[in-house]
Order: sequence, then C-alpha cells, then structure tokens
Amino acid sequence: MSRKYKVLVVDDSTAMRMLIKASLQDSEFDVVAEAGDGGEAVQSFKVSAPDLVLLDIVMPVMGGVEALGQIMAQDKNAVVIMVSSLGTEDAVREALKTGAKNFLQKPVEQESLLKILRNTVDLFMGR
Amino acid sequence: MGAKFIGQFLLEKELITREALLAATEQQLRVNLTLGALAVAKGFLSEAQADAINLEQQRSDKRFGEIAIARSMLNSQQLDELLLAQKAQRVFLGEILIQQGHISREKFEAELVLFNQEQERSAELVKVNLHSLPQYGVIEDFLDMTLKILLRVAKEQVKITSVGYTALQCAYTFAQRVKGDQQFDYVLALPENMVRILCQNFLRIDCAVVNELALDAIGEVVNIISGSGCAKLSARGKEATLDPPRVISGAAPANAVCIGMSSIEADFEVRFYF
Repeated sequence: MSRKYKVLVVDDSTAMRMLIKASLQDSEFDVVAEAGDGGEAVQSFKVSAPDLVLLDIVMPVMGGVEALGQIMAQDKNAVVIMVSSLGTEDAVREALKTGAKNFLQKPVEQESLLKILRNTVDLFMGR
Repeated sequence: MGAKFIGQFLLEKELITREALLAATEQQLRVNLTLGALAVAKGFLSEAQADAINLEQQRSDKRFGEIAIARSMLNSQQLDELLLAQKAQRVFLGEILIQQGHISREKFEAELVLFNQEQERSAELVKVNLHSLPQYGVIEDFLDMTLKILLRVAKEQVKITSVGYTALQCAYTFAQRVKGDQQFDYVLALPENMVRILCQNFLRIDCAVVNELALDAIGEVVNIISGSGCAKLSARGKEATLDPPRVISGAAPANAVCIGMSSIEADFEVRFYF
C-alpha cells in the first residue's frame, strides 16, 4: 500500500479548510488536524506531528509567518507550505526565509494543490 | 442607467414579466448544453471525467476545453467538434422570449438596439468616472481582481454599473484592511441572495440561509480578492499587506468610493474606504 502523508491544515477560514480537505480527499494526503490561527497551529503541530503543514499567512491572534518561525524552532526539518491570498513579493520572500518549503497563492485549485504537495514531498521527503 | 443584461433591461422597462424572464432563462439553461454535457453525449468523456473538469473549472479561470486538453482527456479535434456543436445549438435569450410569445420580434429587435446604445454610453461613463478618481490606480487594480476572482471562484459574471460616493443599502458588508504604501478598507457590500449564491458557488454546497459558514466563505472570497490586489500593487513596487477580513455594520463613511456592480443575480457594491 502506498504511503499516506499526514497533513495539518491551518487557516482562519472554516470554508477554506473545507475546500482544502475536499481537494485532498481520496489522495495520498490525509488531513489529520486543523487549526484556525497561528497559536493553535503551533500547539497542533506538537500534538499531531504531521508530515506536512499547509499554513495560511493572514490570520488573527498569531499570523502564519510567526507561527512558521515557532514551528521551525520546534523542528528544523518541518515541511511547511504557505497557502495564502497574499501573493506579494515581500510575503513570499519572508515566508521562504523563515523556512517555508513552498508557497501557493489562493484561490486553491485541486490540481495545483496536489502538484505542489507531491513536488514538496519529492524534494524534501525523498518519496 | 448602468450596465446590465438584456433580460434585466426588458424587465425594468416592464416589457416582460419576472416570470417570463425566469422561464426563458431556465429554458436557455436546458437548451444550451455545456461542453461537458456535449462531450458526455458524444461519448468523448465519462460523466466522472466531465465532473472532474467542472470541479477544477470552479476553482480556476481556465476554460473547460483548456483543462480537458491539459489533462489529455480530449484532443484538439474533439474540442473543435464540440465547440462547433455548441455554437450550432446555442439559443439566445431574446430568441426564447420571442418563441415563448413574451415579446414580438420587432419590439425585441428595436429594444436590442436601444440596449446596445445604453451599454456603450454606460461603459464610457463608468470609464470616465473611474479615471477621474484620485485613487484610480489602486481602485483599478482591486476592481480588476474583483471581476476575475468572482468569475473564477464563484462563477459570477459581473459588470461595473456606476461610480460614485453614495452607498447602496446592502444586508451584509465585508471589509478587509489593506496596509502599506496605501491604507484603505476594501469593502464588498452584498444583498442576502448574493451572499447565498456566492457561498453556494464557492463551496459547492447548498446554502439556503445565510449562516456563519456562508459569512466565513464570503470573507474568504474577499480575502482572495484583496490578496490578489495586493500582489498587483507589489508587482508595481508598492508595499502592501492585509489584516484578516471582517463583517462590518453601520453607514459607509462620507468619503467612501462606491462602485456599483451588477450580476444576473443582484446588484451589489464594492467600496473603498480611504
């Protein structure tokens, strides 16, 4: 049986989390946990130990880049993909500099989401 | 009078009834087959394949044929055949209204000339008014993204109908703060039915009432529009970032720039609070 990858989805929008989960249904990616802000994401990362994190940037309480910094401090090998509406050069640069492995701008299409996840797995997890 | 659709134009002039327009648009939907339905009917695609393409189309601004070719589900010869068949069987709304006896051919043709003239005048007026706004550049970027994202994620074809400083009364108002070189709120003001329809099209679920999920979904649509608008600003060397979207209430500020929008479903507004 092919390997399943555990995914943590972080987005303050319930609707967006629903769309991402629906896009990953029946794929090799299993959404094992969800979080609605950066603080929850950091906690959930500890508890669920996901293989991959899909992390939004613009969120209340704690934004995605700050959460990314804290996740990378917990595990320097964490595989985090930023999924954000904010596709500015500054946002992309800051996220990659902080340790994100990839960046996907919303709206999220199923095909591009699966492609970026598979590419990231190939590059960083030696599938 | 602003930009609108021919059915709405005839309805406002009381040349047809609401029931007649509804019946004609429903008939149009039945008669004008989608490329997916045609491809299934001709045996080029299975229903599951057509559904998969429709699903992707829902989340992108790509055309059905473009996706089918990229996925090697159709070849270019099959696509050409489908496009020709679709064109050959396409029936316009006016033709159905005439066939169903809601309006005479002579009257419809005369009204179509007036409609086209009005559309041209309206488009010109909107263009002049937009260009005269002091914040034209940023407004143009965000309006462009509004039209594209509403079509891409919510399948809503929208036209700009007016530019001014008087806000429309709308049931729900969503706002998102843009910060950086220019600070303002991007605002989407929608009537209830538009909230339900956008939510339904965005999430592909039934949305009979406006609930928390529907408000959250529209907030996310606003977030996608604002984020794409910021990306356009960034490409022009401007710094831009966002606060999360929020639902707001109360009157629009006096200096709000209000852009009237119209879709087949409803009139609504995009505002900029500088």
